[in-house]
Amino acid sequence: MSQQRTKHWQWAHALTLTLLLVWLLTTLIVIVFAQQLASITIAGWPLHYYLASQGATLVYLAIVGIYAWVMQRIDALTDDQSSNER
Amino acid sequence: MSADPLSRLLRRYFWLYTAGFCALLASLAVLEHEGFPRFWLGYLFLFSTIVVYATIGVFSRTSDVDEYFVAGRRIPPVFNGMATAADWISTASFIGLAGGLYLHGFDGLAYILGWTGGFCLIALLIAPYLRRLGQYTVPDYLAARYASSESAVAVRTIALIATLMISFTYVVAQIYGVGLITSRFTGIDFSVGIFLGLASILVCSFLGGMRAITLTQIAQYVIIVIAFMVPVSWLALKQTGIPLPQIAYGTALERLAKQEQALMEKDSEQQVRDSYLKQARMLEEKITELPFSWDAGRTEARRRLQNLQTSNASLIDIKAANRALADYPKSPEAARRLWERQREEALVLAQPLQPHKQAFAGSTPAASDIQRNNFLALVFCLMLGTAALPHVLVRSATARSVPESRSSVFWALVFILLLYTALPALAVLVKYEIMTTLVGSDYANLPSWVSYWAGIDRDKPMISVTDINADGLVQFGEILLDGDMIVLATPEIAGLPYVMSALIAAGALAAALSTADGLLLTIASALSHDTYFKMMNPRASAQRRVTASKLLLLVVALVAAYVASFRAGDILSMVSAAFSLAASTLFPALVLGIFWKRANQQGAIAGMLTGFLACVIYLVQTSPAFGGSAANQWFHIASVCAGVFGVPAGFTAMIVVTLLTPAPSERQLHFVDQLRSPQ
Repeated sequence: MSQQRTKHWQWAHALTLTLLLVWLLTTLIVIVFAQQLASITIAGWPLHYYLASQGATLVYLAIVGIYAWVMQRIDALTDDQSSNER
Repeated sequence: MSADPLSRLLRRYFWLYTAGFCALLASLAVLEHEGFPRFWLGYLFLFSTIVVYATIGVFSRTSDVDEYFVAGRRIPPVFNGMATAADWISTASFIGLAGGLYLHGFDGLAYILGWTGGFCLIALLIAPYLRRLGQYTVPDYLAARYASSESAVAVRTIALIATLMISFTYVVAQIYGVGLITSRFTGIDFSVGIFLGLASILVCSFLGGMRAITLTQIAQYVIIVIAFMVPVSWLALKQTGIPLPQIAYGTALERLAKQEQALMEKDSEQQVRDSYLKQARMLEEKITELPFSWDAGRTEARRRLQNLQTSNASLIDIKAANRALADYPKSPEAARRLWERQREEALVLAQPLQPHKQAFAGSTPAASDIQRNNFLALVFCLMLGTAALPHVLVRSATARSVPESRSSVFWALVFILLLYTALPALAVLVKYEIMTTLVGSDYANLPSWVSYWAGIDRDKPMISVTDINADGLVQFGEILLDGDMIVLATPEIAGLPYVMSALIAAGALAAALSTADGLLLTIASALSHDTYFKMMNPRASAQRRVTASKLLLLVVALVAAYVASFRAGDILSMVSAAFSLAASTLFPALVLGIFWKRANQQGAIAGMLTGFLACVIYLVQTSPAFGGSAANQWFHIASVCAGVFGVPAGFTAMIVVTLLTPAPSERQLHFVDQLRSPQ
């Protein structure tokens, strides 16, 4: 049982770290390179403005969504394995 | 989707209610068309929404502890997300954000990024663990994690004080907003408006606690979103032909840039800027000649008044001269402060127009870098602050299970984004509308909304338009407006029917009320659960605790309304400071408690105290509102972003002290394992 728990935590931990990295990079890139991105225009949108007003927030939403979904998988997986062992 | 009875019931009521609201909107629109007086239309709209909230509040009254504090822990994720969104969307989001975007363009987007990115941290680092533990409040959670023995008085007390300070400043701002909205749209006095709003907050939360608040917040979210999206979509359709503002404003942004370019090249705009520059130079001269200029100015003001009185001038002129003398700075020191502020303002107005999409505008690359660093620092503080706001975190406790607490954060972000992606669109659309319709119009026939909004508060007008270069036409540089009026005045600026104005006011009221409800309950439960039950009377019965909470809610609400009635102008800067304070004090203890097993009680105490002190000291040193000065800034970081220093200070202190003191007990280690376990 405790082995299952450790495994569950390791996976959860890895997932959390990965997604935090995505979160951090998104935020930093959008802000630090805003002036460089400003020269690019896509369909009327200056890229830096689009990213800061919509793009980044959609990435944040994806991060939260992926986390909820994958964690549910991880929960189910460890659940199955622990019931198999019993 | 699960098909349990509660979900089905909630869904059925939800759709019935939404349809009912749309029907109300439609019937009022018809009434307006038939010539029903506008004044009554506004009343009818605002009061019918308040009646709805009150009805929900009364019908969901409860005295069960779990129901009262955490809505029985059985709210399905979609609805929990909706309630969280309403909890989150405050007057600052609904009214302030679009105004900031209008005034600062790209640089205003820091709030959009910070206030959405923070939810990643909530979902990944805090919410599921908070839910698993199943406590009622944030101090409760911290005390349970760090308690070395039975009691954890120190941890609980510090967390409690932080919770109270953060939530209280926040709730005062909400009640202030309620007063502003009700007084504006019904014509009643500001302080009466505050207590009227207070009454409607209380009927929702007093009897039913979290259960009533959750259900009301769902109802309020529907109003918030309809009230915002309908007028903005209408405006988008009018300007671009696409009714979806999130997509439409790409083209609008392009046209706005062209319009800005055209305005930049106009001579008349240059004249206006030149006269601001002249004004700034004059003030500069007066400042260097202090204290003589102060004396001369006072003598001049007195002589003017005397001259007017002896020459039988009109009463209005005499009154104006009298007021000018009364408002004259009382000492050379006061004069210096006033004139320096006025000089700063004039210098800002003398700057050439910044394009809306311009990121980090600055006259030199170094100035532009400072802007960028401040933008980054603000986003950082807002994100970490969001993840440590007690009234948002406690929402994860109302979810049914740990997995559902994760998906309810997802839904909350979906519902928040629905509004937040439309806010920058609104700012762009309104700016274009003002630049094309108000700019260039004749002073003899200004649109009626200008005089209406200028007249609401004569001492601090929301908008002032003065013909500075005396050419009889409105220049963009001549329009000075308060960002807070942008959202509320959108329907009038765009020439939409009055029912849209009433709708947007109802939405703003819903945003303020929903947040105030959540905050008041957070404060009341921190006081009743953590102070009364856990620290003073651990044997109190469940019934008694709920009663205590109800009484405290009443007291806190009255105190908050009393504070708000002073109309302290610096409330908005206080709210921004609350984010830094939350981040510095609570964030390190919350996160390390889960992800670092070694973290112990001594570390948590040191971390919270150090973070709190670092943040407060920086605020006091650098914010003019607290008597500091911008000259004390480190790395040119504004006082709002005090958390940039507070958070690392808190983390460092917590880690160092933890490593210097004994490791946590077996019992605590086991507790962390419990937190991390899947079930």
